[in-house]
Amino acid sequence: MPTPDAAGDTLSEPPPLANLLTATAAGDRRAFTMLYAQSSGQLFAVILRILKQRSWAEEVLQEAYIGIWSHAGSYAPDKGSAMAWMIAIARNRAIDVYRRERARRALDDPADPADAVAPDPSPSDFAEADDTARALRRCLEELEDKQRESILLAYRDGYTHQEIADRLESPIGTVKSWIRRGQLRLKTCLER
Amino acid sequence: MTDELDQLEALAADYVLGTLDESERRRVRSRLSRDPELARLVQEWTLRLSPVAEALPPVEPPPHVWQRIEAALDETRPAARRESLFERLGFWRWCTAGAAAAAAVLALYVALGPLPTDAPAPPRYVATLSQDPAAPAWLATVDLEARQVLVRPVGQVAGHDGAFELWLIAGAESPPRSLGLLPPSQEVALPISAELAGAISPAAALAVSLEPVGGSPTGLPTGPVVYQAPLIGLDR
Repeated sequence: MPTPDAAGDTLSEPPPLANLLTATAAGDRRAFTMLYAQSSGQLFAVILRILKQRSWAEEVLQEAYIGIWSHAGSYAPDKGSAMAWMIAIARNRAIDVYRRERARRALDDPADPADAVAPDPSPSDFAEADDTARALRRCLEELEDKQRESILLAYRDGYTHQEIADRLESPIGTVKSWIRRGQLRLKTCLER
Repeated sequence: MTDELDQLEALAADYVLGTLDESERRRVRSRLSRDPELARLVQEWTLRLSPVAEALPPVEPPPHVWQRIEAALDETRPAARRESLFERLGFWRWCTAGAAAAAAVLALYVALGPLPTDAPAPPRYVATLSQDPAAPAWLATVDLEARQVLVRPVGQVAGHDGAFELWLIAGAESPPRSLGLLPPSQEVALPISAELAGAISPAAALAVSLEPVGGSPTGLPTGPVVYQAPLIGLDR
């Protein structure tokens, strides 16, 4: 149960995101402002990584927060962290826009905008924030290099199968099989 | 342990990973609301991979993003909806376990789609304003929920002395109605009045005409129409 200070100013520590999200669901603009202040940097990083263009990323960030405001009442704390919920909204929108804009530009812009940001496919920058993150990092490290790289290029950088195949200079069928094997091993490892 | 993911789980895992194409993504999304098993699997994979996204170093967005969000909220919510949490006596009742359980069911849909809804959302449209399909001049996003048209210059706009005016053409029988003026090299958010919002449908189109400085003096296009485009519906 959130405290009445969910969006209050008497706390020295910022209120947890889940409380801010709950207060946002009740229409509290101040809570939403704080939610944005505490989470927009993370969401922008996620979106920018996928879209690789600041103007698109800003637009998607804006849409993501309008979605968060409108649907905050649907967030359920027992279904995962507030950050994971917000990131899912942002990622989905970013991937949709990336697919659409890439298709639109494919005709007249052969240059690959994916080259604008050189992704680092190693999991080394993982925050050791909590057990879940540590477990995922350990399990990613257990994957074969190509499996891990393919999964990270897809999830973190928004690459399609074809883009991963181009980048790793491998046939697309091989990439799909790396990803499928990697997903299975990841799941098995995380359930251990 | 099995040695492969079953078909449904593979679909969920690929959806979260982001490797499905546009039409496959749409199919998954429309299936989520009536397939709790798929929704559960998508939720599992969402949480499984989320730490990768959470580990990215934060990047501060520029201040104008927040200004636009606030402006959009002012448009979308009646004032009564924005009263303080502390004034809402009903809030604590809302927070009971029963409400949380009901919210949990909805949460699945929302965590999965970009802007899914429990009630049908007003539709969104895009229009690529161009003379040559390969070289669009402006990209317009019509957002009926935010009641605005966001117009972004994406290409070269021929220089001239007058103004570009954006028009809504609701249908073959309707006269064009002005949405506002477009700065040639700057993104602009033009508000949509309630009356105009009612005229927006998949049958509508946008057009840009060349007008004297300050816009058309008559309320109808007086100069040549230099760009036009049909509205294309976007999936929510």
